[in-house]
Amino acid sequence: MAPAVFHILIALADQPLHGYGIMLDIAERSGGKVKLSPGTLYGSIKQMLEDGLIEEVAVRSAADDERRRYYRLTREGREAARQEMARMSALLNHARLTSLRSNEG
Amino acid sequence: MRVKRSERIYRRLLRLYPGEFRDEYGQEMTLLFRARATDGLLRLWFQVLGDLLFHAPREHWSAMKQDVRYAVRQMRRDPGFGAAVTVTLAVGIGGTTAVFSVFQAVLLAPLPYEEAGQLVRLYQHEADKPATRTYLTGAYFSVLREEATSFEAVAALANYRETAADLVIDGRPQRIRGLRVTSDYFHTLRSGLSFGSGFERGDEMDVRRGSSVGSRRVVLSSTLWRSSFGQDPSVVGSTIRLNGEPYEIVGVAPDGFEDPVVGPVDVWAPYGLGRDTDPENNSLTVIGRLKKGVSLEQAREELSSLSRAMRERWPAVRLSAVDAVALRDDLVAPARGPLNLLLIAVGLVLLVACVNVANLLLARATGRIDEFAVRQALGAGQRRLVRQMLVESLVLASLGGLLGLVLASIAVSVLRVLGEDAVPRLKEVAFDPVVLGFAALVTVGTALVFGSVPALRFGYSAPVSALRQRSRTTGSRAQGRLRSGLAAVQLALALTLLTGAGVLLASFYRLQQVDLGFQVDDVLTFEVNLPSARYDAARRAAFHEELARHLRTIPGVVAAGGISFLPATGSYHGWNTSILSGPKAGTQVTKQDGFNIQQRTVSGDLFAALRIPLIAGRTFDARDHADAPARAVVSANFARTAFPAMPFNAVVGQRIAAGGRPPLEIVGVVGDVVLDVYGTPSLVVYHPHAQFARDRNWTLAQVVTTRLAPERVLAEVGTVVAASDPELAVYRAVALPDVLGRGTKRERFALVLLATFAGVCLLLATVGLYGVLSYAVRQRRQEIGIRIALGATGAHVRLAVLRLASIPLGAGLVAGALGALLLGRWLTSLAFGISPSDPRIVVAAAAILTATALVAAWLPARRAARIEPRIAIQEG
Repeated sequence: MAPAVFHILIALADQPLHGYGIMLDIAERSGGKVKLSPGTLYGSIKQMLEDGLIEEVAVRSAADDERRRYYRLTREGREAARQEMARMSALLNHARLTSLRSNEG
Repeated sequence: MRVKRSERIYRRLLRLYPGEFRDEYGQEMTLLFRARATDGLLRLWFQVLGDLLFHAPREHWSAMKQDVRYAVRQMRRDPGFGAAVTVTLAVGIGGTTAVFSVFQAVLLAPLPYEEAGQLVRLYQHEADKPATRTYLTGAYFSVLREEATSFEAVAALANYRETAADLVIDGRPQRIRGLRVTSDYFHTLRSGLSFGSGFERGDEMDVRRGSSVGSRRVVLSSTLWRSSFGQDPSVVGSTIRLNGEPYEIVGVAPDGFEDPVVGPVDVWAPYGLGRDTDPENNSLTVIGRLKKGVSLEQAREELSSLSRAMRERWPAVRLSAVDAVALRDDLVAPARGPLNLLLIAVGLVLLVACVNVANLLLARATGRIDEFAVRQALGAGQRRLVRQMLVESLVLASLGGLLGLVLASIAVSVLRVLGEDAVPRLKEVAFDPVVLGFAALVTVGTALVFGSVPALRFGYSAPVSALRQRSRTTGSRAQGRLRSGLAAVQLALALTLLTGAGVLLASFYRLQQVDLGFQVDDVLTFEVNLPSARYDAARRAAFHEELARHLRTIPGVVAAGGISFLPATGSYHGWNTSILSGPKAGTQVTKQDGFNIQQRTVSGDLFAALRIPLIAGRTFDARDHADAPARAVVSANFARTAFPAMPFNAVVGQRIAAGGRPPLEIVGVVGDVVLDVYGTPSLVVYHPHAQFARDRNWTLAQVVTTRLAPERVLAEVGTVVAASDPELAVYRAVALPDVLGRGTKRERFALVLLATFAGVCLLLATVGLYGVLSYAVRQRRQEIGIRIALGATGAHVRLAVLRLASIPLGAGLVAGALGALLLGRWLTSLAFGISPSDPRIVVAAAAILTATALVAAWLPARRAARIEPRIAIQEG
């Protein structure tokens, strides 16, 4: 799974967001280190829509610009995110059992 | 301010994404760009450029992939349709590619010599009369070689000479092709010898007085060196016997080297230019290589100023001007007309194929209106649909192109056989990158042509109107008109090609009807070469008379004789002839006065063998031996020209002089024979070989007339020749009709191809018309049903459908006739005895087209008349 896709899945895990919102969310969680470019962001969104990981939502707040579309996770998306999470944490656990954990190495 | 401008630039750069992607996300991406712009433009631009470099192409690729996948799925759903389109396109693309490959190899590709663009051919002609152009004289050639500064090198080829020679290796004779050339020949063609040093200027001094034979040295072709000398490099310096005379081998030509004018040659020998000083003996083919940086125009200017100087030197010479033309253009000139015509014709076939496919796609697109409307309603942009359709076209065209390449490779091998002797350089035809590129270009172009019609028709209509179109007849009427128009285009193109084929057919028929003045059926011809070493003039004279007598003893043989050059195969020995008696005594019959004056040396019963009628006096016989008074027989045309107003009986006994022989007494007048297969008249003086054998070792074409098929006496002929001398070989045995057939090969080639193209076009156009009418009948089932219910008879209905056909047919006939007039321009060089726009041909072609179109219309008409009203109305 591409890092950008996982980032987007995480951003959408708890609330539907529009594209800009996703970008802001990712930037916030990473302490401003990860800022997706427009091409990466929307290219990934398009691909994820086609793969059925996310879907558009009809609900949007009145204050928002009507041109913005909101996305949320589908069941498949949530499942894919979980699997990725499990894979990464397993990987992390493996890493923690090595000398990488201690600072001396 | 800077942010605003950046945003504007960004919005413009978004155009690099596919349209759908931009429609979908463009605005949001711009918003995001604006939001991000606040925390550092530089970093943002850096990221965005990466986007444009990587993401934009990826989006294009993924959109394309989807379209192709979709197209393939569509085709799987309807394999019959896919196959019909693929085959139709393959015929068009394959045919076009095949003809283009010939066109490119013959007319466009450089000759197979280094810097071939610098090669030119030189001609001599009368000042201000370029049409009189002919070979160069040795005298002119010598001056040009010394004085013209435009050329790096010039060379003369004595290719008018009898070029065959007998090479005996280990007692086994073989007939080989020789060519006499001046010393700079290989240098002019920039073809360095593989071995040996070749010829020198000194080799051009002739050994024998009065002949053009230079030093007895030869350069071998690499083919002969391989086949007869075992590729032994040490042959250089050794001696071979040609026609019984010793020749020193001074070199081996490079691999694959051929003479540009005469083609494959086995040995080259020096031409004895030294004594060829006659300024009026135009006999040399001259080629030159321009110096680097000198243009053809500059060279021609220099030649024309040199011509002026030579006119002062030889004031009596009429053909005083010298001109140069690009060698390639000169060599391929006879093929240019036919090939231009065929490329245009095959282009028309491709166009008809495109129209056919467009028509098929239109019909299918109608069936897919629902699909398009639904997809559009679901948000697929118009651009998307148009591109989708174009990609489908491209996929179909690519399949057609691939199959077309297969067809083209087959067609090329057929063309090679058909075009033998008709088109020069045919051996060089190959599927090189240029041809493949052309095929790819044609394929893409084809897809755009046939794909744009349905794309424009359906891609840009709003969904609602598309759905409405389906339910109402107005839309389908409009489409019917479009398809009917396309059918008219096809019919017009078919008529154009049919007319062209008709003109060629009529021309070819007339060519066959030309009265040659002699009989060609049941005649076998062959050559026998007598080695000079063993046969002196007396023995040669005796041999030929005896050979004719022996051949006559073969069962089935009627008459036999020999002639120095067969009639109707072109001009040969056009020597001037002096008139020594009669009203025009003291004057000459010369080629320069526009007479096709020809000299022939004959043996045996030549006139009987060719069945040339005797008009007055007698033909040659035993009385005309070497020691008898010099005699000649002349043709009726010659008698009329040299002795005007005299009866033929009175011409017998008159005196003329020609060919350096003593004054000749005319002993007979015979019927006229033509100069070439086009029926060009000629004036002929015949010399008895027995009296002329001393002049040179004549290669006489032996002519044997039989009551049986010529091939059946061939074995006996071999026996007879071997009986008189076992070392002699029967060479070039061919039935006379085949010899003459070579003269019409060009016409036959163009005729066969154009007729094929016309046939394919007619077939496609007929299928197209049939499709249009079937569609119309299907669309109007209900209407027709109601009419039948209201009392219309079957005849009425059939007539109504035929009337539908009459619109495209009528339009096609008018446009096609105009097209035929345009095509006529390219037909003139091939038309013989008929105008390319002969109305009879146009009418005949129109009749064929109409008849075929009626057949195509009859089937749907019959189907319409059989519609069951109740069922048709219920369906609606």
